[in-house]
Amino acid sequence: VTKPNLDGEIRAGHHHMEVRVYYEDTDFSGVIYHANYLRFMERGRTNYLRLLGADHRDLFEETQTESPGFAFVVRSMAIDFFKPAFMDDVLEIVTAPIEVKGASIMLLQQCRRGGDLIVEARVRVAFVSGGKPQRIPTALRLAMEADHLPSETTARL
Amino acid sequence: VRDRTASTFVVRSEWERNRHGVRSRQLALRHLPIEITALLYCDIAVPDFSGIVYHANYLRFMERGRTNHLRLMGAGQHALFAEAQAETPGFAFVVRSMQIDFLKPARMDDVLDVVTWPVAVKGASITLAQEVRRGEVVLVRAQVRVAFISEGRAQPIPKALRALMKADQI
Repeated sequence: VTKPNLDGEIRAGHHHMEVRVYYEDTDFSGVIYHANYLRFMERGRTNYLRLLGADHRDLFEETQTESPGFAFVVRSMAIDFFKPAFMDDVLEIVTAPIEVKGASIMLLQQCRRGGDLIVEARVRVAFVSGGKPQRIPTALRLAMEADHLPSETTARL
Repeated sequence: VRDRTASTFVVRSEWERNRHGVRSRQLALRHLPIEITALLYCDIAVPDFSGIVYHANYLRFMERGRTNHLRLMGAGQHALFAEAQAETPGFAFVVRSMQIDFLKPARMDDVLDVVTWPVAVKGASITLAQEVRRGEVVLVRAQVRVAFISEGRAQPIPKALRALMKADQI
């Protein structure tokens, strides 16, 4: 079951989700502690996958049959911290795949506050099933491509 | 060398670091703590549902490594640190960018070794290399660019501090 206000939404292949900054997310100087952006971005990736699964139930069931208990694990990240964010801010976390390879996906993720770009990351996630890296099943690839318009990715992000 | 409840910090001598293939006359002349290893016990809150360490937590470990690296440099070179403090009061380093490779997972009860060293010292920022190891195995490798700030603004790094960091550079 998905809940739009909790899980965000996919628009033109980009997953958008809002997070409110609470006291627990900040460090002693009042700004968001840098490691916490990774937690926000992981929520973005998780919800992106959750919504993809809801939109393409049959393709996800096929993936589940082919690779039981599949998951994505983070292999590498390149992160730029451009501006600080503060207590009570509302951040928009935007997630989109920019490259789908045989066994891994490169995602571009941004944390925005209004028109300001706060943090940007390129995240490479690998597909694993049964504890081992695996090729991404065609069904899952199709589910991602169905929601993904390559020409818009670069234009909008 | 210090003890904490959850972690032990060990300052390695320059000879130990030379074993990693670093050898120069300048290095042999210095008596600074240059490489810090932090033994971090993963507590029960750290591993995620799959029993491996949650990826964002390595950033917390690495930050402890950077903080203690700076702390020990300050302890070892009191005069230079006092000079930097006078020139740029309340200075701090903030993370500007990171490049991280998650090579292998760490698990519950592992003891991890966090190794930190500067690789480039520029006018207003420093690039540090960091590794999280379990024994000889590198689990996470990162390059971290930190910017120098004082009174809320980016500032050039004072000469005293730069000299200290440069001396540590590989």
